[in-house]
Amino acid sequence: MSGDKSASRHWTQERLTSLANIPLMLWLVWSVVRLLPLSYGEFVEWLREPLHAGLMIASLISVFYHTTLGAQVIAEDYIHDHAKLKTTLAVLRLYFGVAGLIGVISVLKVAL
Amino acid sequence: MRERPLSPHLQIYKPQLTSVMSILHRITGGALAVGTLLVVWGLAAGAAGEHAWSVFSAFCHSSLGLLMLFGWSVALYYHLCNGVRHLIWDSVRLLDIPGAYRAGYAVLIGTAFLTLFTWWKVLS
Repeated sequence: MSGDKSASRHWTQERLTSLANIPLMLWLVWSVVRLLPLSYGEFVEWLREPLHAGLMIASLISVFYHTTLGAQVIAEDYIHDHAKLKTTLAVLRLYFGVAGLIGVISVLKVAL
Repeated sequence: MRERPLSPHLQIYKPQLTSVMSILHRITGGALAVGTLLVVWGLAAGAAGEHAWSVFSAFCHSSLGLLMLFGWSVALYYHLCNGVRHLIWDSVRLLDIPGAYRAGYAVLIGTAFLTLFTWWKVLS
C-alpha cells in the first residue's frame, strides 16, 4: 500500500516516538496515579508548574503520534480493501489528532 | 466438490510465550489507545472548571474507574517493557530463541514490578 519511502519513514517515526515515550510515559503514569487524591486547586497548581505543563504537552504529542502509527499497522493488517483502508486511516489520524489537540489546549488553558 | 485439505491455523498450535507476548503487545497497544483518552478527559475537565473536575475525579475513584486506571497502568508498563524488547531486537540482539525467551521473562517481571511498585506507593 505505502511506498518504500513512506514505509521506512513510518518505521523510523515509530521508533523515535517509542524512545521518547519511555521516559515520558513513566512520568505520566507516575503523575496520573499521584494526582488521583488531589483536589481541583491542587491539580491546577500542579499543572501550572512549567515543567509539568511542558512534559504533559510533550507526552500528549509523542503518545498520540505513536498511537496513530500503531493503529495504522493494525488497520493495514486487517483491512484489505484499498478505499476502505484509506478512509479508516484518515479517520484514525483525525480521531487521535483531535484527542491530542484537546489535551494540549486544555493544558495551555490551565497553565497560561 | 471434494473438501480440500487445510493448512494448520492458529487454533492448532500450542500457545507459546513468544507468540502470546506478541499478540499481547498489540492488544495492550489497542487498550492504551482507548485508556489514554482518560488522561485527555482529566485534562479537559481540569480546563473546564471545578465541577467537571469533580465528575472526573469521582469516576476515577469509583470501582470501574480504579479498575480502568489499574488496567491502563498494567497495559502501559507491559507495552513499554515489551517495546524495549522490540528495540533491542531492532539492534540485532537477543534474536535467538533462548534470547527471546529470556527477554520475554524479563518483560513480565518488569511489568509486575513496576505495576506493584506504583500502586503500593499510591496506597501507602
